[in-house]
Amino acid sequence: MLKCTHDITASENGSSPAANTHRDTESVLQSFANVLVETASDAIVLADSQGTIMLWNKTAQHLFGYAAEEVVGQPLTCLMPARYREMHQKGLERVRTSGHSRLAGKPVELHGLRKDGTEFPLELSLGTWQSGGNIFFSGIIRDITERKRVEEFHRTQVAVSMILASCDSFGQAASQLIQAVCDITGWELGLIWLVDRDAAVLRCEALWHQPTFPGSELTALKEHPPFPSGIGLPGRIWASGEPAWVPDVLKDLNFPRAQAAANARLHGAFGVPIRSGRRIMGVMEFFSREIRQPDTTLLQMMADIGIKVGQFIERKKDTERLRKINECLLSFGKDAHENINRLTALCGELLGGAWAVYSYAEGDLLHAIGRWRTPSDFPPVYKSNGHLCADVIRQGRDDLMVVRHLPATSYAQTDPYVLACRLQTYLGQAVRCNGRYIGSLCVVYQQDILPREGDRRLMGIIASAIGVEEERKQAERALQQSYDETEKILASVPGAILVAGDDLRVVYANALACQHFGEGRPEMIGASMADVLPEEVTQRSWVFMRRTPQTAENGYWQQDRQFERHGKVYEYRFFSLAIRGSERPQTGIVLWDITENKRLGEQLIQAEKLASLGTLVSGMAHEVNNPAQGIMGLAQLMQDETDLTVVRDYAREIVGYTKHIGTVVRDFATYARRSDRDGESELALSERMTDAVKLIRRSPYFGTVEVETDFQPLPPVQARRTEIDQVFVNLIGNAVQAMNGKGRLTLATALRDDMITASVSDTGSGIPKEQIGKIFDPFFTTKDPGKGTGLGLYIVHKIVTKHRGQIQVESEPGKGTTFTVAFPTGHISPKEVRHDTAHA
Amino acid sequence: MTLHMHEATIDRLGRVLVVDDEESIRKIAVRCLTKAGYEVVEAENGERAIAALNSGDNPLMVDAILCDIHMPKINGHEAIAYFRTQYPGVPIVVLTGYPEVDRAVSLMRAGVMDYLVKPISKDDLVTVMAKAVDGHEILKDQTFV
Repeated sequence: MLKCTHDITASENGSSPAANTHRDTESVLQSFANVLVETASDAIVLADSQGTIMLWNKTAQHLFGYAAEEVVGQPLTCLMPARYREMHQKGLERVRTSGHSRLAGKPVELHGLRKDGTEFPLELSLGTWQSGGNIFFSGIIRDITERKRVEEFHRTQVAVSMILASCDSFGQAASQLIQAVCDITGWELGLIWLVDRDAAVLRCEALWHQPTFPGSELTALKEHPPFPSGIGLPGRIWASGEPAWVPDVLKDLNFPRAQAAANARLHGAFGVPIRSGRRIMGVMEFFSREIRQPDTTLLQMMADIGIKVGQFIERKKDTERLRKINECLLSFGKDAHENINRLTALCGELLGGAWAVYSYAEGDLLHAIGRWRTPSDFPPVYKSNGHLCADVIRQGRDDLMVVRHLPATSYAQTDPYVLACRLQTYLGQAVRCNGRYIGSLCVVYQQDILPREGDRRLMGIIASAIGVEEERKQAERALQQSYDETEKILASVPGAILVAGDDLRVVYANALACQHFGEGRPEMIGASMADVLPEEVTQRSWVFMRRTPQTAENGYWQQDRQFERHGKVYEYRFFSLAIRGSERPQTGIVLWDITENKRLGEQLIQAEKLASLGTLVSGMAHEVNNPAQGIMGLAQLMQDETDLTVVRDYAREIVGYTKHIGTVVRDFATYARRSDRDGESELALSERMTDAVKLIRRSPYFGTVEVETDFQPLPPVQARRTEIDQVFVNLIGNAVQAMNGKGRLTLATALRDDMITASVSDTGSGIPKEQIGKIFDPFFTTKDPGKGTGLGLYIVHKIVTKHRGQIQVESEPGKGTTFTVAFPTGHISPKEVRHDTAHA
Repeated sequence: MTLHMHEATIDRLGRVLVVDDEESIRKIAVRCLTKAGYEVVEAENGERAIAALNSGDNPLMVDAILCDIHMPKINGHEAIAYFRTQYPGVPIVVLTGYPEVDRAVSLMRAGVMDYLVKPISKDDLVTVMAKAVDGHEILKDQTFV
């Protein structure tokens, strides 16, 4: 129905046929306009230049709630909120004077005022025209409430997303979220409450209000005691998990904060849960000073935001949990048990259980080595039978075992704690170590809990970490065992073993080393080598370490040396310890107490000498008997001799014989002397060989052997004279015997590769190939029984190596044999060592 | 003893070969035996001894041999073995400064008449050698009979 105050179409009516035709057309147009206006989905309003409503269509009636009769003739201002009215009057005045409207030509968004006093957003397309000198306005008005809501919804979503994306924690985001929602939706105050599971209450996390509120009025709202489930608006939402709307909190029966709300003049309120899946994590509530009727669209939108926020909190919680796990892992110490205990506690804490335990299975026992808030009577070791943990281990699965409603399960009978502690839920994760399920990490609850994905992942991660610790524990145990075994072996080695770094400080000492050199200390680690060993050993160790190539493998040895201490003789040897990846070299020393060996060795050397003297002595008999024969013969001749000149000749001859006997006896006596009473002296090897030949020459088997010498001028060798003599007497004696009284004995000395060598060659029978490997063995002899001790070459070898020398033999059966002994020239005397160190 | 010596100066009691590498020892033996009345032939080793016996057209006949054992070139053992085959009738007396039981036994088995150990007195030497020369005389007589 179209109602007009003026019939604007009737102002220029004509009556001619053309005018009639024209009138017909006009009539059609009039009808069309009527239909168009009445059927338009937008409100169409016409007004005159005074702003008086002239035309009001059906849609306008729906939109504003006024019937045409009510508004036609009324000013347009009745359709707008009071705040726009002044601006509207100014606009009308401007159009009347200038003929132009600033609003014309483009749709503008304004607010409309319904008959019932409510506002709504509208879009106005304004048109103006003049007719008969009068200005008219047409307005096409569209209700854009829905569009605005969608926009609002989007803006809120975007704002919330941006806040959540830019904040590291919910605490930081909370008040920004409230502000964004209030700003966009036009609510004035908001609070966020979070669930405190331990206390089973909601606690206020944040409050935000438009600046128009005096803050003091709101303190009571914020500082209200935490809400238990079901109490107040937040408690109701928590309990139901659903959004809730209260048009006027002052009239609400379940609103404990009514007084505070009245003080702040609050009326309308709504709230939505903050949730992730089924889990309610908190509540967001908003207030207005106006009474507000339920707005399901807004509630729906805010419920979505509640889920978004819940997921954010969940994500942040996961991140926070990972950070805590990481922190825990970083804080690990050496003690695997302690670490496992920490992991167990962390698991219980993060998953909010009543208590948490980690147990490992050993036989049919479970050892609870990780505990968090376990009952005070919870045993450290318990029978696995009937325990959930045992089943978790037995089933050996990588996913979490969840048992709900525990009192209803058979475990209520087998595990006393289920009923005693009113346990409802059990979460158990098997722990794997070296490919075997050995333990179980569990968290128990007094509530019914359905773990979310993040909880399952978390238990998996912590169980893996425990597994790693278990593996480390096992590896450590194996290492310790291996170390103990090694230590046992090293302790049973009848030698003292010390290892020192390049700072010459002891890094390892076995039991014997501590006993012999520890001076009563039970531990020698860290002691300076100079404090525990003679200076010469320390210095040699230093030299050895410097000279040993970095590439040397373990077991690169330096030859034996000796020193005396506290009446004991120690033989020691350096060996290198190639420590891969370490630039600091280490040197080991093995020290053998050879006091007894040395005594026996000396005795053996002496015994061999005495035994071989037996052979030599027969030579001495010859040497002594011959001059004795001379002396006796001459003396008897002298008895009958009357010629004094002849007697004198005889007497002179007798003196000669006597001197000869003296020389022979002295030679043998010198040779037979105990060598261990000698010190070392500087010896010329050629002289020693010549003297040895003199002794051998006296032996009956020397025969007609020719002696050739090839002596090079050489530096002296530092050695014991009697021992070196023993070497040559043995070698030359053997050579002569091998030639059976005929042949050529060649003695030679030379300097070869820093070694002083002395060789004894014969042209005798040679040594059969199959025997050459045995000649230095003790008691090996090719001589007839009673002719040789079988110790000669053994002793020779012993003496030569004792003097850091070497001995070599070359032999060709039928052609002869050459023995070569070699002694080092680079004999390290203490002076040399000091020199070396000085250059280090 | 003076009687023997005396006799020796009148008539030589026999010819003795002395083999020893030590010249002084050899000379003393020579002096002792000469004084005791024997004609003495010297040799400084086995080789020389054998050469001495075989020099000239006819072999030099000796009544006894006094021989050392340890000598260069041909030693006492070898020389004695030679004497025993070539001159089985000539008694051999060994004089050694290096007494060995084994060696003494083997030498006695080889037919050595006596085994003397240095030092030995002039009288003992002369007595043993006299016995040796006598032994040879008896052997010679038996041969002629």
